[in-house]
This record gives sequence, C-alpha cells and structure tokens, in this order.
Amino acid sequence: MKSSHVIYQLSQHQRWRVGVKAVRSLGKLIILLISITTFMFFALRMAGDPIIVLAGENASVELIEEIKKQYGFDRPLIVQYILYISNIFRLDFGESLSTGQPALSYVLSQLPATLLLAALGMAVTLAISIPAGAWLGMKPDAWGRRVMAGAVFFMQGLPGFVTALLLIQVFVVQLMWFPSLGYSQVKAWILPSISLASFLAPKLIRMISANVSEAMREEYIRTARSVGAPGWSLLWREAVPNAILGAVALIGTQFAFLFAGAVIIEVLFLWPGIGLLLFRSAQVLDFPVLQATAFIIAILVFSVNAMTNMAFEFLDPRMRRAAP
Amino acid sequence: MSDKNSSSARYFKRWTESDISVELITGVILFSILIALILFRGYFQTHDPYVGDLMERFSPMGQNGHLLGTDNLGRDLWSRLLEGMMWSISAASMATLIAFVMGAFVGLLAAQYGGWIRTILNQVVDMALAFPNLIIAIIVVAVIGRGFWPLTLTLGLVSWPIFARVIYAESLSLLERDYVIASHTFGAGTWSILSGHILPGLRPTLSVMLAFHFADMLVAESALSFLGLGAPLGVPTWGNLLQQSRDFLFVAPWLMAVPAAGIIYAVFTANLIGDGFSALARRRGRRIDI
Amino acid sequence: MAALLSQIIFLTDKPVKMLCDITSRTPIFWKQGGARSRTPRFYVAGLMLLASALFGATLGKEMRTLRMGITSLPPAYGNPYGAIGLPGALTWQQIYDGLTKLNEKGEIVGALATEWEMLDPLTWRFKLRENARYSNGKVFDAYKAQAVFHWLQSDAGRITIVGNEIKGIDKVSVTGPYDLLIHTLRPDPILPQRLSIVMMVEPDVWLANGVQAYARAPVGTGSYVVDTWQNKNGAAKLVANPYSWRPPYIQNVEIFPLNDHAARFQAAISKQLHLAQSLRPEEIEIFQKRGFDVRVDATKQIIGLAFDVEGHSDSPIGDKRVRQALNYAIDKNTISEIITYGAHPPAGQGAAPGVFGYNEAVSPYPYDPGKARALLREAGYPDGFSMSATVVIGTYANDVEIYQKVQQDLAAIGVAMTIHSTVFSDWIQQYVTGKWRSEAFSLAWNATPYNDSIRPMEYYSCKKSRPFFCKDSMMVDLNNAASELDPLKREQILFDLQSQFHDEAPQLFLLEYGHIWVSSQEVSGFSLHDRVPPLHKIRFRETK
Repeated sequence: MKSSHVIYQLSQHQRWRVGVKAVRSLGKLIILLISITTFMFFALRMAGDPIIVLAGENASVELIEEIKKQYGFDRPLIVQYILYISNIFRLDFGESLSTGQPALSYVLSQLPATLLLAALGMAVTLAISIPAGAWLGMKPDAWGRRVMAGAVFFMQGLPGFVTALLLIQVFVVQLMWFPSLGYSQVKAWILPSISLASFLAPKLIRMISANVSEAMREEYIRTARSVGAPGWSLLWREAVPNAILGAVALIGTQFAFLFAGAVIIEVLFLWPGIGLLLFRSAQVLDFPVLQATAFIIAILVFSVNAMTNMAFEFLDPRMRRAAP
Repeated sequence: MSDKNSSSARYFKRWTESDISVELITGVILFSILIALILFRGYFQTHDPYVGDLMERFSPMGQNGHLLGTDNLGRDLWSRLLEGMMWSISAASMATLIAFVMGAFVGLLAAQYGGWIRTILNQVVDMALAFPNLIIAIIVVAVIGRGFWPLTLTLGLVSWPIFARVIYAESLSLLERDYVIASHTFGAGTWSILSGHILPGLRPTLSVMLAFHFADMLVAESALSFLGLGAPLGVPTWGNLLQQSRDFLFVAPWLMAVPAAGIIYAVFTANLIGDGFSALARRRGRRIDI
Repeated sequence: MAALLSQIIFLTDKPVKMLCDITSRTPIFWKQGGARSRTPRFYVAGLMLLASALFGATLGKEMRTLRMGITSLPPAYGNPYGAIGLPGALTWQQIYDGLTKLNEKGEIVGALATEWEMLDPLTWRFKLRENARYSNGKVFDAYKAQAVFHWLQSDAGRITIVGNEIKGIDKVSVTGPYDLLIHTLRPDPILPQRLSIVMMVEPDVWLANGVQAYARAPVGTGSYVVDTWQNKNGAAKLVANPYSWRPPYIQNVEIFPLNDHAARFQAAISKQLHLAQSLRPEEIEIFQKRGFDVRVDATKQIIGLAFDVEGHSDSPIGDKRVRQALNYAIDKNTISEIITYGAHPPAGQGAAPGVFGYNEAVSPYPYDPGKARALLREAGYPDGFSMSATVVIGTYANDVEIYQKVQQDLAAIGVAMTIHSTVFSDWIQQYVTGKWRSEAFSLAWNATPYNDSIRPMEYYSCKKSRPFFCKDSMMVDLNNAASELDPLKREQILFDLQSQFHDEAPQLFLLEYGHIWVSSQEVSGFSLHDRVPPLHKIRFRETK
C-alpha cells in the first residue's frame, strides 16, 4: 500500500514537472522566434535591395523608387520594423515579392515535401546505420569488419552532393532506372534519400558501432554471456538499444540538418520543398518568403531539439528514475 | 605474439598501452604528408596551376605529361590539386579556429557568469543554431564579396554554436568540481581559474572536436562552392574543382574523382586524428561524444 | 563508387540475413533493468515496408505530357509586365499573345493583329484578329486591347517594365470592333516590334482580381492555360486552352525550372525531358549520337566584359587605348573553336548577324598581343596593371571557362585581372546604382526582344540611368536612330554607330552567344521564334 502511494505521488510530481517544462519551452520558443525574425529583418537588408532585383536590369533608378513606394520600402527602417513585427504576431509575413502569394502559406505549402524527404532520408539512414553499426561494433577487430569500418570511414569524407551526382550519373543518365525530377513517383524517392543517407549514415554507423563495442565489453554483458545468454539477443536487447540511446543527440542534430540543410539535394533533384524555396528566394532576395522560411525552420529545429531531450528522458532509465 | 617474452612483442605491448594510439600516429603521419605537400608544393607541381593550354584540354590521366590529366582549360590537375590543397586546408583550419574562438568565448562567458548574461548568450546560441546557413553565406558574399576571408568567416559563422554548446556544458561541470570551487574560495581570479583549470580540463574534448570539426569544414567548403558562395572563381579549392567538374562528368569523369579523393583523404586523416585523441581520452577514463 | 557499392551491400545482403537470424531466436530471459527492449521484428518489418514502398510501386498509367526544361519560370509567374525577354517569355508566349510577334527568322509578323500600317509618323492603324478568345471564353477585340493599354498607362501600369517600355504611346483609340489606332508622342520606327512584348491580358479579370491574383491564375489567348505553377514534379503544369485560336496538338505540358546546368543536361539525356534549353557546346555531339535534334539558336547577344568607364575614369580603363589593347589581347578564335566548339563565333560590335543594324564591315578585334602591348606602352602602362571584374557565372553555358581564359590571356600582356564572381542579386545592385566595385563586369549586348540593335546601344550610353559608358559625341546619332522612320537611313546610322562602338571599345567583346536547344526523337515540330519554342506546334511522333 505504502509503496504504491509513493509511486502515485511521484507520477503526479512528474506530471507537474512536465507541465512546467512545456510552458518554459514554449516561452523559449517565442523568444527564439522573436530574436530570429528581428535578426533576419536587419541582416537581410545587408544583402541588398530586393526591389532592384525585382525590377530587373531594365529598370531605371526613378522607376525603382516608385516601386519601392508601392511596397513600403521607402519608409524609415524603424517604421518598417515595427510594422513587420506587429504583423508577425498575427502570423502575417506579407506577400512574396515575386509571386504575390502570402509568404507563410507559400512556405507551408512546400513543407510536406521537405518533411517527406527528411523522413525518407532518416529512415534510410537508420535502416543502414543500426544493423551496420551493430555488426561492426560486435567484433570490431574482426578482419572483414575492419575493412568495412574503413570503407565507412572513407565515406564520411564524401560530400552528399557528390554522391548525389554520381548516383544521378549512374542510375539516371546511364541506366535510366530512376527519374531525377520531383517526387510525384515513388521511384523518384530513392536517389535523394540514398544521397542523404550516404552523408549522414557514416557518422551514425561509427557512433553506434563504438557504443555497441563498448557495451559488449561491459561487465554485466560479459557475465551474462558467461552464464550462457545468447549473444545475439544480448546484442539486440541490451547493447543496441543502449547504443541508439547514446546516439540520440546525433540523430536529433541530423534531423535538424535535414530540415534546414538539405538545400543542395532539393536543388539537384528539383524536390519542391523549403530548401529549394530558400535557394530560389535567396537568389531574388524575396524577403517575406525568406523570413517566413527562417521562421518555420526555427520552429522545426526547436521541436527536434525538444524531442531529442524528451527522447533522452524517456529512454534513459537513470533520467526516468531520478525523480525523487 | 606467440612468444610473449620476445623483445618485439614486449615493445609492441608497451607501445599499444602507452599514451599514443595507432590511429593518432597514422593520422599524424598522413597529415604531415599533406602539410609537406602544401609547403613544398612548388617542387611537386609539374605545371603552372593557373595557366593551361587549351589544345590539351581534357587530357586523361598520364597523357601529355599530366599526371592526373588536365581540366576544361587544359590546366594540369595535379598542380591544381596541390594548389587547392593549400587553399582548402588553410581555409578549413582558419574556419575551425574562428569557430573555436567564437564558441569558446561565448561558451566560457556563459559558463563563468550566470544570470542574464548566460540567458542572453544561450539565446544567441539557440538562434544561431536555428538560423539558415544559406542566408548567412549570401549576406557575407553581398557585404564583403568572395575570397579567403569571406569564405572562412562564413564557415566559422555557420559552425561556431557547436563549440559554444560543448564548451559551455563541459566548463559548467568543471566549474562545479571541488578543486575549482576551492581555488575560487582561496581568491583565485576568474582569468586564472579559466586558464589554470577550465581550459586544461577541456583539452581532451577540444582536441577531438577540433579534429572532427576540421573534417566537417572541408566538406562544408565544397558545399558552399557548389552553391556559388565559396572561394573566388579560378581559385582551385577542392570545392571549386568539384563544382566545376560537374558539367564534365560525362566527358571527363576524372575531374570529379581527383578532388573528391583529395577531400576523402584529408577528412580521413582528420577523423583518424580525432579518433586517436578520443581513444587516448578513453584510455584515461573519459568518454567523448561529439 | 566503392563507397556506393559498400552501401548497397550493407543494405541488402548481410544485415538482412543477420536480422532474420535474430528474429528466429526465442525470446530471452535476460533483462537488465532500464533499457527498453524492443524486438527487432519491428525493425525488420519497417525495413521490408520501406523496401516494398521503394521498389514495389511503379508509375501508373503514363500520360502523354510534353516536358520542357528551361533555366527558370517567370519570376512573377503570370504577370507579363514585370520583365522583358527570357526566361519569362518562354512561359508567357504559351499562355498569352501580343499584337505582334517575331517569327523564326526574326521578322515582325502578326499575332493578335493581322495587319498594320503607319498613317502618319505619329499614328498607326492595327487590324485585329477576329477569331481570338480568352481562356475564360470572352472574345478578344479592340476594346479589350484598348483597356490593356489604358492600364499600362495608369499609375500602376506606368511603373511596370513593359509600361515603361511603351511610354512613348500617347493614346489608343478604337475605330471599329477590330480596328485600333495607336498615337505616339514621337516618331517610333520600331513600334510594331515594341508591341510584341505587350501581352494581352483579360482586362476585366485583371482589374477585378488584382495583379498578383491574376499572375497566379492568368487568363490569356494563347495555346495553354496554367493549371498549377508547381506540381509534385517541381514543374509548372499547363493544359490546353479550349478557346485558343492556335490550339495545341499536345494537351498537357510540364515546364521544369532547372537553374542548374548539369541538372538540365542529366534530365534531357535521360529522356525525362522532350525539350531542353541552354545546354553546353561539348554536349552537342553526345545528344546527336543519341538521336536528339540539336539547335543553336540564332544569336541575339554579344557576351563580354563591359568597362565601368564612368566610375573608373582615373583607372587605366578610362583610356580608350587601354580598352582596345585588352580587346587585342584576347584569343577569341581559340575560345570560340575550342571552348564552344565553334557554336559561338567571335564578336567585335554590339550586334550579331541578323540583328537590324549589324555592320558586316566591322570585324572582331584580331588576336594580337604585340599590338596590345604597344598600345599599353603608348597609354603609359608598359608593365601592365591590375584590375578586377565582377561576373555572374552560370548565365551562359561556358562562362566559367571563358572568363578564366580571358584572365589567362590578359595575364600574358601583364594585366592581372581578379575575377569576382558574385550572385545576380549583388550584380544587379551595382548595375542599377552604377556603383561598381570592379573596373569591368559581365554584361551582354542583347538585341532581344525587338531584334534591333538600338536597345542595347542605349544601355551602353548616357541614356542608361547611372551610365557606365557615356560619350556625348555619340548621343546625336543615337537620338537620330531612335526616331528615323526611313529604314534605309536608319540602318546607315546604326552601321555608323556600330563602328564607333567597336572603336571606343566600351566592352571586352567576346562571342556571339545563343542558347543551345535539344529536342528528343519523340517529338516533332520544334522551332524557335525569338528564342521561344511555340509549344502548340509540337506533336508526338507515332511510335513504331
């Protein structure tokens, strides 16, 4: 009776802690978003005048002044900033300077493609890294595995876009097995996700294999083995979960990279996600779209970080128990 | 190893148990080769890396006296590879240094001073982590233009928060150690604690991190060049070589293979050194996860 | 490749077998507190699901869609008044018509107008096509045309690029349902050419929806209607306009904006595209071997490095002899023959053959380093000097190599040129404000959209706002060329101007440039009208 009572108290305490944490991280997110949008506002203005780009090389200076007036870019910077920030509280980033679409919904319309690519890339990365890491980490000194580990080591130096170009050259240009444009066909998903995985997997494989090999040396596993517990199941029930736990931070970072940094892969495969949008908008200095993109990316990165922390607490028994 | 008493076996045993790991030695040797190639590139270059003969464009490897062939303007690829090595290695080192200095400054400051300074600095780090790198690169190119310094600055600006995070977390735990608290109570100044206790305590982590970061910067340089935001046109950094080879993948695939091999070699070396340091730390009872 | 293979092996061979081993094991007793135990079965199931999703699913029923790859979509989508020429025209010409257009030979012909005449130097009469209808079913007539011109002359329309281009039009009056009178303020010899860039939008919808909404869902008289500007292939999707006076053979079109050259090449050679724009000369042979139809577009551009004479008058390039010397120093024949495989010939004036005003008597500066050095010595720079050039790369297929070759050739006469390659957004800030950080910058002489050499000349003169080259002595001729109505006399003035520009050398003249297009065997009827392929003329070949 007594013990169950204590457990009840603890979980209530935990719930309270979770609540406080949620509120605190929401506050953090809001501060982050305000600081990012503010910084973006002033930093972007150093990159140049979007109206000049919008008007094109045939426009005269007078014409540009008139267009500026039309878009409100002639007002003092501080006035522009106040207007901008007050609009952002209503989630209004203005309209894309080139296409005229509301910037935020424009970015959101591109988001599913990026989420799909990130999910695919991460799925392939994990599908490669976990078995490969476990296999390599189990007996790191075996001859064949050393060779493989070396190959993984080498892969780490290959930029993702080089792999992508090689894959396109072989499987699109020479063999014509896969398309290289867009994502409307499932066939078109393969090369981009492999390109991403080729860049992300080596690091993860190395980390998981290091963790596994370390775990396999642990006292309890050695004891278990000596009393006859099967090696495979020890690996999969103990060593690998612990190894993945040790790699959660890295997986989180890689996810964040996929949301924000898969620009080159999206450009190469004409994958209409926010990376491609970011690339195109940056070329024409489409400020509203760039600002909305940074906003969305910040939310994504923040959520990934928050989830990584949650995963830590959820997966790590020490953290779960340490709630007296 | 059958005869345990043979002197060579004993020597080997002593060697592997000593402070220096195999990875570290291999890494350092391979890296010294790189440095030697850079320093004495004048002796190794067979041609002027910037001038080519158009009549000899796209010579395959080994033809017309070109060890690794020639590029689209008939320039000797081997000589360009060496020239680019100088650029890429020094840009990556400088970028790592910039990132390290910025990260260390912010990280140590946040760890040393609590209160609002810490809050603000952590906020800055969070912001920098979530900020799109592409926009930083575009701003740097628009404001300063392209060149060695803009390139290193971009790379440093993009990557410093990683250092800030790790240094902050590590030095926070170091600051809570008894001996640090003790020296504080004995009146040691902030600076002497930082230089006397914190920085030496950070050394194992930093040595691993710097090596891995250097490797990342080499790869990042090529990505920047791919987007047209890297080193100036005509400078044969490995990123530029890769970027320009794309158009000729069909005609002259070696143009891509050569710089790719260069990057792989350098990253391999840096990772070996990083692994070596982390093996060293592990042997001394520390685990470093970067 | 080795790395790639290792991945494939990783993914398919050993790990899968290994996983099967694991799943066949019986559940185990050993359980250490803490770490969550997850059976690997989930993992295997997930892997298999992924594999089946990737390999099992195939493309469904193939729709016959024409696929074209170009450098980019119009920056402002379906608003045809924000820019002139490529890349916008590639899409706009499919969905809109102007009153006139340029044909395959670069001559001006009718589009929505069928015939026209000049009544007096300030008045033109246009007879309009009677069978044209917009994609919303409305009839196109003189009132619609008049409303379009009215908008372009309004406050909102005036500040558009096209509105600015036709600011010489005084008023437009309707004399019959299909009769239009256009009055100009000054005599305008190229008015019919000028009207080819004025796309006829549907004025009622235009005014009702606003420019930006219209740009997203344009209504025009052309062959196609925009279905979506970006589908899941990353392309703009067009469908046939049921009311068009020039109905297309192919109902569905996808236009792929592929900014990256390598991506265009790869998509074209792997037959993902039927048409592709702006490929590289060395690829001509590869495409021809695979049965593609390759076409080098009639050139309308002269590419080169313009000198910022106004902003850098104190520097060596302020001296005409230096500018000439630099022109003599470049081995343009080698560049043309080897880098561009002869596709783009050397140039020495601000127009290419076929452009109105091109002067045959002016030949390119010959390659003469000796003369170049002599001129430098004469100008007081016997040891050369250093300068820089700001360029945007990727604009022309071989520009990276061309600029680097120029750099080498200049170094040979002692001129050290640093190349600052920058992004377009930075380049245009300097171009428009006239504040150049370098002595030279990449700029072409572009005869599009009128196929007349007057327009580019005006940009190389005091007429450009914030000019980089401004020679007062040339302004008289330029003004005459802009208003002379007699074609023969006008051509004479332009000839004269070309030789003056050749002599003044405001640019390091390089090559006559045109896009290289390919069309696959699957389609026929490919042609280029003013750099734009009319897609309605294209049809699929019958398969054997």
